[in-house]
Amino acid sequence: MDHVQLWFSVVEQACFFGLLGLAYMLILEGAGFFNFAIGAYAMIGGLAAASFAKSMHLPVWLAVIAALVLAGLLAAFTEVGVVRPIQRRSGGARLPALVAVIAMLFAITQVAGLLFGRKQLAGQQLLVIDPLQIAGAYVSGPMIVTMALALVSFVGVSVWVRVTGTGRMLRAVGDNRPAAQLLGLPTSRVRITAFVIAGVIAAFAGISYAAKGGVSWDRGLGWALLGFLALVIGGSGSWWAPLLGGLILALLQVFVPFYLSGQFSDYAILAIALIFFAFRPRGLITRQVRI
Amino acid sequence: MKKPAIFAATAVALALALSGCADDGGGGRVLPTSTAAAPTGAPILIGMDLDKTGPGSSYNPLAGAAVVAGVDEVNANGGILGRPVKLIEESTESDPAKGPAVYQSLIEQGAVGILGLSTASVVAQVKPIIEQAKVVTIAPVAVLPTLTDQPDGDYVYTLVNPVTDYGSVFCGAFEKAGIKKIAYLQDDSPAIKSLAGPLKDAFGKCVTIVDDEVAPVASTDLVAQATRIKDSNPDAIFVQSVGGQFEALAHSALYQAMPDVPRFSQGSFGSQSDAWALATPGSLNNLVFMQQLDLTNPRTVDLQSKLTAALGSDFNMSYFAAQGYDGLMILLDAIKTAGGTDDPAAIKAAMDATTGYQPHVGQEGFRMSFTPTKHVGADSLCGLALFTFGADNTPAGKWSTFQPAC
Repeated sequence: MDHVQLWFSVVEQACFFGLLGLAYMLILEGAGFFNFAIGAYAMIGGLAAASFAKSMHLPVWLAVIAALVLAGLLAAFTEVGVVRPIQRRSGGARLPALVAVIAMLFAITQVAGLLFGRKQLAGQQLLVIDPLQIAGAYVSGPMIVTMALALVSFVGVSVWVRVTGTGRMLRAVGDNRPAAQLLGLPTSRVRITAFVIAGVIAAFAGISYAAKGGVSWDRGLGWALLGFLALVIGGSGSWWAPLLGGLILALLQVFVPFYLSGQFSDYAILAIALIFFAFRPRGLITRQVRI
Repeated sequence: MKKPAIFAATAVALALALSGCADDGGGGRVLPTSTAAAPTGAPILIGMDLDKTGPGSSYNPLAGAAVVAGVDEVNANGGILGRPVKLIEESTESDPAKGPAVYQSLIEQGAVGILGLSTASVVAQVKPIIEQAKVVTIAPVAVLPTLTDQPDGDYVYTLVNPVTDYGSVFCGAFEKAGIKKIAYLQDDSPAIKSLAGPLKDAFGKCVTIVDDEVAPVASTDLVAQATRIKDSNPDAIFVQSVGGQFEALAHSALYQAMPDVPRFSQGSFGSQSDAWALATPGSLNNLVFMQQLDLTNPRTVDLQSKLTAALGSDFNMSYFAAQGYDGLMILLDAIKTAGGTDDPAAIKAAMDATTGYQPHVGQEGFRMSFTPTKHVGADSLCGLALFTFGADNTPAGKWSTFQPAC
């Protein structure tokens, strides 16, 4: 524990990866497939907020709200304009939808480059404070925002799926859509709600993390993969599982460069991914079914 | 109309409407400033390898915008030999593997000279093609000392001080500042990898490198590297990167870990004004960086005014812009001296006879010359200068401790 700063870095990155994983999980539960456009929503959030504040001179809070609305609309479009028509034509198959959302990831990436330019932009500081000194470590405003956002999002989603009707219907719709329709559940409303919430969470995560070192149009793919791995490693047995997956990824991202070399961190991520795909494809926390 | 079609139409309309938000560093064009007769006849075609994606995209558009403005300026003043100059633009995306196809394409489209704005590794890859086609190729931003070496170096030229000169300048700075041991942090981009070796060799003669860190150029966190550097207890830290987010993250992390340890930077960061805002406020304070742009040089100030008028008030002067502009002007001067574009050997001979060119980079006394055996333009070390950042994360002026002499 000599290097407290490293542990704060682990927590910050774990929160970011976990938030992306949580966004994946919402759509996995509600629609039954991995929406790889999550990384693009996060990138669009960070990039749009930065661009709106810089180019249009909007106040930070207004730029953030506008970026969240844009990401939410984009997520809704993914469901209504892309996934739903494709699943209608393919009899509800998930593979065509999966391919479509991957195409959506690349399409959003290119359109973002066209709309917002291909330069890196400085992220927006949501909490402008002097860095705090905690046990000799430096804790910045963006770090605090990312951690707070993770706490609020994970608690919020956990409560939402238990307390609200739409939340409780989420898993039923994702597990068996035809059965849910036969039962009269509003499957379309539930799915689109899951997409929009996931899009907004991913975008907010992108906005908060962009304040650390900026954001650019080509970040979406990398973030999509890290969020996906956070869910794969953590599992889908608990709404908090992606945070555990994110923590493991963050530990690798920080301590592999520290003890070995920065050039090995990508190999370490690849190795852990292969291990989980091969030996524990359902992740660390799986759903327990009582018979 | 079906719903998906409505969404698609809406998305396209939105994209077109929002495209006004784009800020890619481009801008307007030079307005005609003279009443010279409009150039006529077949255009003189100049090829340009300009990266808009890849590692070089952080600085290529800066140089490319100046080249475009320079061409517009030349054409507004009657062209070259009465003929208009026209640019043919392609992109290798900083990928050496794409170099042969892109350069072959430029040559087949009729380019009589090429400005290779991409990384030196790309130009190095296409040297045999350039030699075979006998097309004078200037790599204005390249600093790789071996780029103009034989074989296949007859038609390849660079302008500014090579990286081996950087070693001489920084060694002088370290000696003057009493620095004996440094930590080295670099990104893993091909461009920086090719530059780091010669620079570390040069540093080995004047300081001890106590920690040598290499991190992915797309890193989003460099706290681990900063912590390792802190553990090595260096007198100073040297950062070498393509700039942008990597360098901003590096200085943010290094500043929080070791606010009092001097930091030096070599690379593009000092001229990437957009990237300074990516760093934590105050983290660039006292950072010493080396660059070719010296705004106390009156020629540089003149070019800055000219390019600002051409490209708009958002234009930020950088040495890339000055290098791109100088590369174009030297090439066009050679074509003019050669008396046409039909004889590649004559253009090369004119290039080799260039002497005392007064560039828009470096200190005021800096000059560029070429001979048949000297294809690196820089005549002295004063094509380089050392500057420092202030507490507001913007350059505060020349470093008072040491400057390379002309």
